[in-house]
Amino acid sequence: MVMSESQVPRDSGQVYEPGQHPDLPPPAGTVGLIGWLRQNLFSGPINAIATVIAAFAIYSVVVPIVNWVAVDAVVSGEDRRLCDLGRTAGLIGSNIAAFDANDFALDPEAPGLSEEAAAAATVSKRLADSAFDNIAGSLAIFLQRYEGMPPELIPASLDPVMAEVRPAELLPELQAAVSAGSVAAAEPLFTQLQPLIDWGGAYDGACWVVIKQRWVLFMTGFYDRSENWRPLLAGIGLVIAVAPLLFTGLPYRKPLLYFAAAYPFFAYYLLTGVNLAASPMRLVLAVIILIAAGAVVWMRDISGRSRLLPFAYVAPVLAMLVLFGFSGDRPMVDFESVTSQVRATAEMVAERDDLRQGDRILVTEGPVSQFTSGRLFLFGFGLAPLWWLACIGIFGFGLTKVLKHAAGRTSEVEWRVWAPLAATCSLAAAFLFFLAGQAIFEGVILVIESTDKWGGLLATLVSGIVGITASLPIGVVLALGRRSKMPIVRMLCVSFIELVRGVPLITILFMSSVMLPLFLPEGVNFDKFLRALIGVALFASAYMAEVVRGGLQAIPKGQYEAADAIGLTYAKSMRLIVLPQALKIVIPGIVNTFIGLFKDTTLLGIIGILDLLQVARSTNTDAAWIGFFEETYAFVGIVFFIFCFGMSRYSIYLEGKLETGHRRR
Amino acid sequence: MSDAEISGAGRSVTPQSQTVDRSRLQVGDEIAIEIVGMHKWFGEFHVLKDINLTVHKGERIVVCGPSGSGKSTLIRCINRLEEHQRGDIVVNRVELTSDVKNIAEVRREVGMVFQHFNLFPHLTVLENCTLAPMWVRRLPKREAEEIAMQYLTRVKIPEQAQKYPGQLSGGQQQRVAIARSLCMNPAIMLFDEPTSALDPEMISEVLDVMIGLAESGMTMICVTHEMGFARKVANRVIFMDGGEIIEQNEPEEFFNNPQSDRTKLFLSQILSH
Repeated sequence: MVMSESQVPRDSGQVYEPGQHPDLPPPAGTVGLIGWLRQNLFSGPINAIATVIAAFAIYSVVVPIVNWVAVDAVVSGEDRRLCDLGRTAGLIGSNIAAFDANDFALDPEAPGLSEEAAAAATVSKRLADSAFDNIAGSLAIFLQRYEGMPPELIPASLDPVMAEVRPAELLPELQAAVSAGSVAAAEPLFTQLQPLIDWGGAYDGACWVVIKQRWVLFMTGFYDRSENWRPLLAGIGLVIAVAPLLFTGLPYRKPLLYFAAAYPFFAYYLLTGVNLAASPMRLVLAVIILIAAGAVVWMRDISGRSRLLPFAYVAPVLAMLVLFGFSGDRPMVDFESVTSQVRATAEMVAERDDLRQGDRILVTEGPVSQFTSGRLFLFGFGLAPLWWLACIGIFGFGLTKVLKHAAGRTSEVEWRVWAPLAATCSLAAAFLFFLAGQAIFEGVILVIESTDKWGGLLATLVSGIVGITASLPIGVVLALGRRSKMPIVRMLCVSFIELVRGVPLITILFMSSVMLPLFLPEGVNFDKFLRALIGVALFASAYMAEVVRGGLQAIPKGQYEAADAIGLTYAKSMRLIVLPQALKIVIPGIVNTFIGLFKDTTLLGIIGILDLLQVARSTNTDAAWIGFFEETYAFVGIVFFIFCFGMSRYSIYLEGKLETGHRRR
Repeated sequence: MSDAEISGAGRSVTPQSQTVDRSRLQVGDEIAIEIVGMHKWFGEFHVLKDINLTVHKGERIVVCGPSGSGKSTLIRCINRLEEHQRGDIVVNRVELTSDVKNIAEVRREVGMVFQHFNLFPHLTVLENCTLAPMWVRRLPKREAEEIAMQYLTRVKIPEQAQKYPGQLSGGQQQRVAIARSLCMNPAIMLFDEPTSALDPEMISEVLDVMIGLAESGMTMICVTHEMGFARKVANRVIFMDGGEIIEQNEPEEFFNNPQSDRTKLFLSQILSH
């Protein structure tokens, strides 16, 4: 029973019949904003004092940061000149502030001074002297810079200030006063300079021009400028691919999930490039794979569910890898040279050389034709994976519905009819597209971009995302292996985890970049970036394994027993019962590892990969931008913070979403 | 001793109104479980000693005994949650060896209900029930859900299907656990102290379900101290102590005329308070 305001009994002493007591509103000041403030910030004198001190501390930290980052920041212009002008004006002010007339008047040689006092006076006097000198010096530099500036660069706010202060006329007076050592003559001039100093104060924050100028380098490193649409497109694709994985309530989630499944291949070919000039041997192999996939699907029809069915799912991807994969100028994994080594035929080598020359000819065609062929590539890239997934998805479901309707039956028809059809269609498409590629493009359709050129955010994100997506499954497998009853499996997993955890990441990166090539057979050429990726992923997996093991140990034995008792196999009980619960428990730990891994990718710089941090460092050593290291480091920090904070918030959201009431055994 | 004395004296709160038509409790000739000369050790500790037990189709067996007597271990051996080291166990004509195929076959045919329910907390009640039919029997989802709803109705909680186990009371959870096992359409049901983790109020709702199950002709082995339940539906009561079967008999005989001193002591202890 809720009573309205007018009915509230004011008389606190009122007596009610048992069971008749109405619900009264809470006393004033215990709810709402006031109640919250009183309870949380001003509950007692100590709390109130702490609140005030904390508020002051926050204020005194936040205000300068905001001023530097936003209020006083310079974003206009194409170079450092405006930033320099503002900073020089600010410098005049700071020199005036540092100047102390009393110190200036000190005489260290005055009689009666003790030794210590004389020494202190000497230091103070010297500081005041140099500040006094610097005021004139910095004004001179300011004028010099002002005169050197093209008029269109000078902000409008400076003109009235210059008209008022007339620094060009003040400078000789000031210099005269300085050389005469006359504080009395100089101090009025300081006052006159004040508007100029105030103006400079509004321009001496962060100089974001440096980031603007180095934007492309920060984003993609030395990736070809004309090809930068590719990383951009891959980035947009990433957002579209990740969204359905992160948010289960998304509209159109199912088709988006198909896209997410195809995305790694899409991104791989988009970023590294594609050479359609595949060898006939590759074609034959790809066709065999697709026919085998079709056969598996057909067989499923005849003999019920086949264990090989997963193969049919991945077959088109495999076929695509065989057709176009790793055929670039600088391939990620040079399988071609392995085959050539096995066959040891000179013709093979000659053919490869021809292909490489073919690439170079096309590269010279210029960005426009590259872009057009790139778009054509995108149109046709779905050749295997997308076509396949589209068949399974839209086409398949649609057809199923039609067939169901026609046959008047439910279920059962789902796979049989359309899956073989899809296999056949993708086979035909692969073949046609191969022919088209041969005929139209005569080779390259996306210029091969060697990973040596990748840098900036591109390198950071690729290494971070590959590390994250690889470390979780590997970590789960290692954690399960560590808890296995089979001693050899357990021993292998324990050794791997302990070995990798016991070694710094830098060591592993050096191993991968320097030592690993020494152990590989001749002719097998692993890309340096790929090696580093593998190193990062394995390193994170070892940590992930321990995090996941913690979750596995938190699952009560009864859950394992119940899963066994209802007849689930080991794999199914892990997948359906244990891991969903274990991973949910350790979400904070997993995300912690992800964040750590993402930040650890900055270590890739040590083995010569130009990641985000290395771009900042290279900018700082660039003669044109010396002295702006705060901006570059702050930018890198902000970018990392955005990603890491995003991950952290998502983990909190996910924990809330997966909460299913009280845990019971 | 009458029915009322036994159930009223103990912790059992089986409703007095419920009568069980024992004529419906038929025992078949076919053998469901045969255990011959079975031994089990936990490390050095000899838990089960020379167990011989034959269970026919449709039999309802209640196993009782002091704690640590090996009753739970015995029934956990029947679906291989525990491995025995000597002797033979044949369940539904499948011998339990370390052959994974045999174990899987036995587990498909044997349902088990645990003391602590062991529901899967990350799945809804309905998903708990459809999991095994879908992933072990490979039924289509819709069919599995129909079966699950049918059994949830039978244990009288169809309205809770979309809730998570953590939102249910203990008695409801145990009924879900029974429904989950029944969804696999098992030939044999094992109960491992199904009521001992429940509040007295909730025991009867679970026992009602178990009585209904017994009436439908299910082969049941039940580790419990609910003597009222044993008297009503069991056709054999087994008393275990120290890893051995001390005595087995029809419930009337077992309660009214126990043979061994150990059984007499046990019965006097659980019925006297």
